Amino acid sequence: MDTNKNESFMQLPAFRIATLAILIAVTALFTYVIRIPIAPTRGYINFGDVAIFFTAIIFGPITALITGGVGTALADLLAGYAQWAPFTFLAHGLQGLAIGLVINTGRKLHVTSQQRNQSKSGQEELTPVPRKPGIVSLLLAFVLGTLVMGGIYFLTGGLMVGFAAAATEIPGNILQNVAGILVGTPLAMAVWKAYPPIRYYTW
Amino acid sequence: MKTLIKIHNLTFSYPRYSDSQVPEPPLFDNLHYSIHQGELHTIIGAPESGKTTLSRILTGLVPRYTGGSIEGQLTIFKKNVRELRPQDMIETVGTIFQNPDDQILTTRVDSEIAYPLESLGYAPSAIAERVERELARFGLEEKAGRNPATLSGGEKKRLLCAVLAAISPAVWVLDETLDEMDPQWRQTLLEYLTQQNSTVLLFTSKMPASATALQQQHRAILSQGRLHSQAEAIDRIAEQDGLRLLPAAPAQAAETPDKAGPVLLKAEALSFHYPGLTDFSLEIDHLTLRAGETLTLSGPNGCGKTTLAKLLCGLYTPQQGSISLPNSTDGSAALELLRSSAAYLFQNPDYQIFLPSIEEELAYGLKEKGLNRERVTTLVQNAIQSFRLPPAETSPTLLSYGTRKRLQAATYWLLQRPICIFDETDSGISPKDFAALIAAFKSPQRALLIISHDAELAQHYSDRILRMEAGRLIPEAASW
Amino acid sequence: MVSGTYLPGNSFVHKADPRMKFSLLILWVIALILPVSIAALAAYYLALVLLIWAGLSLGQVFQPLKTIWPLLLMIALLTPPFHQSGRELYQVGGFIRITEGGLQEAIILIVRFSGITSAFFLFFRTTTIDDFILTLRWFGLPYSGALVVTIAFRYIPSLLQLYRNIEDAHALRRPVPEGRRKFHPIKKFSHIFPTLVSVMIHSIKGIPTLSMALESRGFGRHNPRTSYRSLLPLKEIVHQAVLFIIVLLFLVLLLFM
Repeated sequence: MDTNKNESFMQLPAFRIATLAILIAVTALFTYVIRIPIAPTRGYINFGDVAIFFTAIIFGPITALITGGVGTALADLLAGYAQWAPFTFLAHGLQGLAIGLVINTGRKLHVTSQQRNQSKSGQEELTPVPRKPGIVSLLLAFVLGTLVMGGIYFLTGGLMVGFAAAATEIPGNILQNVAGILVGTPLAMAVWKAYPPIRYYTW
Repeated sequence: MKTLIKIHNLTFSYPRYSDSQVPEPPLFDNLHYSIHQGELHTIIGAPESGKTTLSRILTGLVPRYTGGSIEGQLTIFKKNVRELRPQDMIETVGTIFQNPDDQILTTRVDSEIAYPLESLGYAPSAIAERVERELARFGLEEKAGRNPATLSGGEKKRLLCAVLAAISPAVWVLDETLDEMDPQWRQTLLEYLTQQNSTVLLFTSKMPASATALQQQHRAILSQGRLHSQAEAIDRIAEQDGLRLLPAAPAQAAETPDKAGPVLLKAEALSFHYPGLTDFSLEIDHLTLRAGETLTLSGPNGCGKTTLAKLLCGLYTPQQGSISLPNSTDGSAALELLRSSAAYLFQNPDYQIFLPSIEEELAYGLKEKGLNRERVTTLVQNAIQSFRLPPAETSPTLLSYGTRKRLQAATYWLLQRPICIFDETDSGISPKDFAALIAAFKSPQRALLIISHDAELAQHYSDRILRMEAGRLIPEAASW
Repeated sequence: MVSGTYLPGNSFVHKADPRMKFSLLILWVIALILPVSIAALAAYYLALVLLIWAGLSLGQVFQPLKTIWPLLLMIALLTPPFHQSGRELYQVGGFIRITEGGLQEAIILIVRFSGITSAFFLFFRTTTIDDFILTLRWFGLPYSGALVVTIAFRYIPSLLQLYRNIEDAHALRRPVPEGRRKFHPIKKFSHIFPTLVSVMIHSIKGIPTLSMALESRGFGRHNPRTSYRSLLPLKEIVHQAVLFIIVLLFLVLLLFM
C-alpha cells in the first residue's frame, strides 16, 4: 500500500492558524532576543530579518507577509517600542511579501524551464517541492526586500522624527537585510535538509 | 452491554519521507479491540509502542495531521471515526495529551477551560458556570487568572482534566495522564469518571503497581502492533518489552563503593539565585564527585536539581562559592573548562539535533579534536553499533523518541567527558533501555550524576543518593 | 516579556474602556503628525504628560523619553543643517547654517516624537494585551486574526525558554576555545547557527501538534463561536463617552490654534 503523505492538511484552517502563530512567535523571538554584536562599540543587529527570509523561502509570500509584519510588531510591543509597531508591521510585512514573491517567481520560472527540457521523460512531481532558490532570485529578493523595508521605514519614520534623523537608520537597515539573507538562506536550507516534512508545508 | 468503541483490523503506518529513513513495519497490524459503555480500560505499552498514535487515531487527529496509510474500521457510537472531523466529535470523545504543554492554547487558566465551550457555542453565563465548577473540582480556583505556564506539571494535568470535564465527553482517552499524578488527584479523577459513567481509555507506560480494582478489571497490553488482553500474555509481553525493572543492574553498583577514585569535581559554599528572582535560592555547602561513582540527585519538582546540575557543568555562575576541577590552577575553574568536562543529557534530546544525518551529528564534536577522517568514521561506526542506532545516513529528526535519546547519549559518549549528568533521562524510555545507557557510560574514570524522580531506579544504579529540597541538600542517605 | 509593558493599577486611565483609549490614541497620534503650530503640539504633549502623571506617576513621564533619547539627539543635531529657512542664526564650519526655521523644525519633531511615544506608552502601560486584542476585534479584526495573535503570545515565553535551553545544550557540546575571548562576529555566528537550526526544527515540529490541539478543543466547527470574556456593552460606558467627547473637543480645537 502506498504511503500517502496527505499534504492536504496544509489546507486545513487549524494548520494555517498554527503555522502563523508559531512563526509569529519565532519571528518575535528572533527580533527581540537573538542578536549579535557587529562592532565593539555595542552595535547590534537583531535576527528578525533572518526569520523573515527563512519564512519567505520555506513557507511562501503570504505567510511571510503575515508573520513578518505581526512578529516584528509584537516584538516592538513587548520591548517597549510600541510607537514603532504600526510602521514595523507595514515595513516587515511587505518586505516578507516582496521576498516571497521574488523567490516564488524564480522557482516557477525554473520549474517551467525544467519542464520544457523534460517534456518527454514523463517525470511527475506530486507537489512542487521548494528548491534552493537560485543566486539571482536571492539577490533580487535581497534588493527588493531592502528597498521595501528600508523605504517604508524611512518614509514612515520621517513622519515621526524627520527625514534627516530617519536617514540615519538606513545603513543599519541595509545591514539587517544582509544578515537576513546571509543567515536566513543557509538556515532555510539546513532545516530543509534536516527535517523533510517541512517540504510540504508551503502555501 | 453495547459495544461503544469497536476497532477492527486497524493497520497504520506513518509516512516515509525519503530514502534516508529506515523502512519500518506498520505501527498497528490488524489491531482488534472492543470497549463497552461505562468501562475503564487500561492499556499498557512500552514507550513507542504506539499509545499516543492510537489515542490520536481514536480522536480523528491521526492521520489527519501526520499523513500515513490507514486501513480498517474504527467506530464510536456506531459512527465511523475515520470519516468525521475531530472538532465535530469533541462531545463524543475527548483526549488529554501526554505532554500538557502541547495542548495548552491560552494564557489564562479560566480561558483554557472556556475555550472548548466557546467552540461549542455555549452562552457566556453557562461557560462561566462550568468554568467555576471544574476549577473547584480540580483544586484550581486560586489560579483562575494565572498563566498556565506558571503552573507545575501536576497542576497542568489537572487543568487539562478540568477542561475535559467541562466538555464532558462520553469517552475519555487519557495518554499517560495518571502516570506521575498525585494519588489524591488520581482518585478524584477516577471517582468523577465513575460517577459520570464515562467510558475511559487509560494509556500508561508503567505496569500499574498499586492499581485499583477498577483499573485491574479491563487491561490490555499494546505491543508489536497488536493489543493483547489475556492476563498471562500481558505478563509475558511486559517482561519481554522491558516494562519491569531489571534487577540485573545492581551487580555493578555493589562493586563500586569501595572503588571510588580520585575527586573529579568539588563544589564548596555554593550560593545561587536567578538574577532578578528572589523566591528561590540554592545553597550547597559541599559536594564532591569521584571517579567511578554514580550519584543520584532526587527531590520534588522545583527543588533545584536541574539548577545544581547546570551550575556543576558551568552553564550558570554561582554568586558565591567555587567549583573546582583537578586541573584548575586557581580556586575556581573557568566556565569553559567546566563546560568541556561535563556531558549533560537534557531531558529533551531534540535540543541539540540540527544536522541532516546521524553520521554528521556524531562527528560534529569530533572534528574539532583534530582527528583524521578515517578515525572519525571508525569512532562513528562504533557508536552506531554500541547504541543500536540506524544507519549513518538516517535523518535524526525523523527517528523515534527513544532512538533520539540514544543518539543524544551516543554524541556525548564520543566526547569522552569525565562527568556525565543524566537529567530525567529515564522518562520516556523503558527501564531496560535506560539500564543500557547507564551501563555504556559507567567507567572507573567517570562520575555519573543521575537526576530522577524514580526512587526505585535510583536504588538500582547509584552508590549515593542525595535528596534536595528547596535548594538545599538533605544529609546523605547512602545506599549499601 | 510576556505581559509587555503593562503594569496593573487602579487609576481612571486603567479603568477607562480600552476602545475609548484606543480611539484616543489614534486621534492623538494623527493630531501630533498634522502640521499644527508649535503651541498646539506643546499643548498636546503637555496634556499627555498630565495624563501620565495622573494615571501612573510623575516619574513615569520621563520613562518613554529614556527609551528614545538617542533619536531625539539625532533629531536635534541633524535637522537644522538640512532644513533651512528664515533668519540665519549661526554658522558652523563655513557651510552648515543653523537657521531659525531649522531650529523650529527640530523642536517640532522632538515634541512630535516625544508625544507619539508617550501616547503609546500610556496606552500599553494601562491596557492588557487581552483587552487590546478584544478592542481590535471590536473594531473588526476577524476571530482567526485574534486567535493567531493570542496563541503567538502563549508561545513566546516557551520559545524563549527553549532558546535558552538549546543555547545551553549547544554550548556544552562545543569544544573549548583556546585563548582569550576576542570580539569575533564570525565565531559568534558559527556558534549561534546550530542553535538557530535546532530552534527552528523544534518550533516547526510543533505545528501539527498545535493543529491537533486546536481541533481537539473544537476549533473549526460550523456552529458560531461564543465568547467567554468580552468588553462591556456600549450602553454601560455611557459616562465614559462624555469624557471622550471632552477630550475629542480639546484635540480638535487645538488644531485651529
